[in-house]
Amino acid sequence: MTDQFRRTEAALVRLFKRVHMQPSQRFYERMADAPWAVHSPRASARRSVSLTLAAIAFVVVVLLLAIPFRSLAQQVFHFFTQAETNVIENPVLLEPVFEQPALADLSDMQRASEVAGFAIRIPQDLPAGLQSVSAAVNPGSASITYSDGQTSLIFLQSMQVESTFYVGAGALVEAVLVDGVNGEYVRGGWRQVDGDLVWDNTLPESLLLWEKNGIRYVLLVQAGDISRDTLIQIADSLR
Amino acid sequence: MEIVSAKLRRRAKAKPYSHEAAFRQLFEAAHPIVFRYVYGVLGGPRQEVEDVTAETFLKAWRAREHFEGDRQAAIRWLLTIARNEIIDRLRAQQRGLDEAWLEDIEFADSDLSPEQQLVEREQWQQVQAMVQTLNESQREILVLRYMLGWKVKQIAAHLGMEENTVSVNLRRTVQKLQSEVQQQEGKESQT
Repeated sequence: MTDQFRRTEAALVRLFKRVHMQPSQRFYERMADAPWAVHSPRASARRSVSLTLAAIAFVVVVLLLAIPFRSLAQQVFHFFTQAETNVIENPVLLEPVFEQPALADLSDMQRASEVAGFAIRIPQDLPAGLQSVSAAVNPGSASITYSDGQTSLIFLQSMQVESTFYVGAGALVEAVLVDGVNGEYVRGGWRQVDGDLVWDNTLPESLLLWEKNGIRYVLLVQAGDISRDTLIQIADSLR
Repeated sequence: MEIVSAKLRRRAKAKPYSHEAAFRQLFEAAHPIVFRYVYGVLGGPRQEVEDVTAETFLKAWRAREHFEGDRQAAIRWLLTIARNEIIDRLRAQQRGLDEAWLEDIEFADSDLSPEQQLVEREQWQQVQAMVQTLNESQREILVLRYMLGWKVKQIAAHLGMEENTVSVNLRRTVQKLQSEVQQQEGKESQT
């Protein structure tokens, strides 16, 4: 009886996950006039995605431009480069630049893939409650943000595979098998403290990176608690 | 200078969404949840669901100076406003929750075969038929658990119920669905 109950419960969860339940354009147009709205909510959502991407790029750029590479690099993994220390003093902070994406809608996957220039993949298995809140597609890249109000998960896929992510000396980079290939996982992130960047393993952030068929995939947890195994499960469900 | 800063920090903690930028962030993060909740409890039509969702945030905006709590508490607060809005509308229209549930729903794109898609449609129709027979409280529990993914403990705290009551309610609802599916399968095997 319990097994049957669990099977029915699991079937219900699967079914509800597949249901497409998002407000229409009319709702967003109405909300663009809400007292708290400076920009339209969709534009703001796109802005937050782009700023996130820019923020990730920013750490890479800052470290490449402002810090002598030889003195910084200690251990190079495939996707991550580990710094010699956990503190980067007085980095040059570059303001992220917001750009409107070429496409912010994934309802027509064929068109989105044409814009990106590669077949965009979508996770089929997400933790309960997480749903897509925004998307940004540009030539060569696509990003989707999922949220349940507390947890924020960003899924990036990009044709640009040369970049590396810098992590602190104390970061624990793990090699993992993901999506049928080798990938790397790290938990924690850079925190700004009095103008310095400090690596913090306890920040509620994590990154899972891997490459497949010439595409770099990144699952980034920005807030909330998604375990390494759940991230791998999400990655393994890509279609 | 430090005193002013401490005062501002205390104010921000006490009234976290009084500033429009903070409320905007709350809207961006929470509107899909509120929309899904309203859709699940009210059942449609989509335009009315959007009206209720919009009204929920407008009411929350007007009452933002009275709210204190973290993001999770803010979501519970928004869902309470949404629930009251649904009740008011149903009363004004003198109707219950027995109208067709989520008729105009769409499924996300997938690579399911046509046969699998047909099975999925049939499963959905069974769920629809079953949900229409649930009362308001049962429907809300179902929506919070399976559409929003809340834990039993969270649902119990939000609805002011015992955890056991929520668990029993869920079990009955799922068993009801199970027996409907089995009846349907029995009918099909006879024909």
